[in-house]
Amino acid sequence: MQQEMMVEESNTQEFPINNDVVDDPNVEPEQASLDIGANIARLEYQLQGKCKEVENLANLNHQKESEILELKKEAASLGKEVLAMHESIKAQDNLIKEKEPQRRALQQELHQMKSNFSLQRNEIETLKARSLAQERLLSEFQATLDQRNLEIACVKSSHDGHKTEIATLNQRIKQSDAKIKEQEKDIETYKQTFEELQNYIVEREKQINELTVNNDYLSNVISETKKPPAPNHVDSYYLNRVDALNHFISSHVAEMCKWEASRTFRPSDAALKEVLRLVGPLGKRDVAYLRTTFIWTLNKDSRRRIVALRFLIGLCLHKFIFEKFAFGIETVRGEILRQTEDAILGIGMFSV
Amino acid sequence: MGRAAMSMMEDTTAPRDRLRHFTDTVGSIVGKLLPQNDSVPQFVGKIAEMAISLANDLTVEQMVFRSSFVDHGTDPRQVAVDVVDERQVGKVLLCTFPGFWRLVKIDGRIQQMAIRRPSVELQSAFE
Repeated sequence: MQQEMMVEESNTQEFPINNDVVDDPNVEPEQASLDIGANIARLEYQLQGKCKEVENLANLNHQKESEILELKKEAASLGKEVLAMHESIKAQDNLIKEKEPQRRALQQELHQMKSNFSLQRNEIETLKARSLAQERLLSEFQATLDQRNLEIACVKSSHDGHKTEIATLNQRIKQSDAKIKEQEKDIETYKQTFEELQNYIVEREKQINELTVNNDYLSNVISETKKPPAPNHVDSYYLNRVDALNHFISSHVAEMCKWEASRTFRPSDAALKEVLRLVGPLGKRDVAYLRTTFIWTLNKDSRRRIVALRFLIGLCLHKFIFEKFAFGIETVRGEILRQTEDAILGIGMFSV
Repeated sequence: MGRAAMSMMEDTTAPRDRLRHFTDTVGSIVGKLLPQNDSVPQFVGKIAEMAISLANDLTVEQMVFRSSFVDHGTDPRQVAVDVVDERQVGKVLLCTFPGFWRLVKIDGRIQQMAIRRPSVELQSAFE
């Protein structure tokens, strides 16, 4: 490559030729000969350059030829290698063909082994499950065995106890035999007394039978004469009392709200909050309404105060007194009795 | 059952404790909303006496009674109530006195027969 570069460079360095001087008719002959000489020198110089170029190209050619020869040798060796490779490939192909039945046989064998392996794995799983079941059985059996051992131990201890008990009982039997003999004598005496008592009992039984007949007769008479359960009082009696209570409350509340002092009295916020606190647990919806609006407007007119007082007293009456099964009874007992009462009512007593 | 329950409580302090709780609460409410006056404890005591006597009579009665109190906001057309002022309309503002009912079984169904319906004030009373 360097040589090629050098050749190109030599081609480009051309010596300048003054053609204008040669061709000009106005130029003197001496001057013209001088110019021709210069031109010849220049052409010689150019020729020398060209010769050098030719030499360089010849060298380059020679170098290239040697390279070509080397490449040809290399190509020949590669061709040999390729042939060898082809042969080797053919040999391997043949080998593969030869090995193919063996490969198939191995593949079949592998497949067979795989199926065998899966079968064996299933068998192992089954065996594992059986083993677990047997372990469970074993543990159950162990528990039963422990229980039996415990029972045996108990029986053994009781057996020892029985032995001592039998000895004690034998002693007692002996004592009892002695007593029996004494009692046999007593029995003889009792037999006589028994006959007397038997006669007495027979007489008493006769008397009892007569009294039973009389008792049945009297029970019938009593049941026939007994009045059925009836209300202690009629509804109007209770209505009057309820109205009396309502009237008492309403009239007295109205009277109290019309006192001179009540007209100018203004309950404090603290007092109103205390009232809300007292009745808070008794009626949530009502008390919520009182808390939000009504109780803060009581001073507008006396009627509001009357209604609020009657409501609060009525709520306390209902919650403390009338709602319970009986006044003063514990809540739980009251609930139980109320349920019992409802059950009796459901059965049908108090029907109309 | 009522007699048995009352006789069971005769030897206990429960009725007295409950009475004291009632009179303290009502006395405190009245005392907070009205000016101080000596007649308030007497008034509360009389209410307690009348109410407890009535409750005891209802307890030992051969019939079954129930008391009811109507909540704020209840529709008066859906429950039996006593509106003293017939001009009032709207929902229940406040119940001023509890209602009393006698329970009876009529044709296999338990029904309430009003002894006295609960007294109520409706919303229009204070609009």
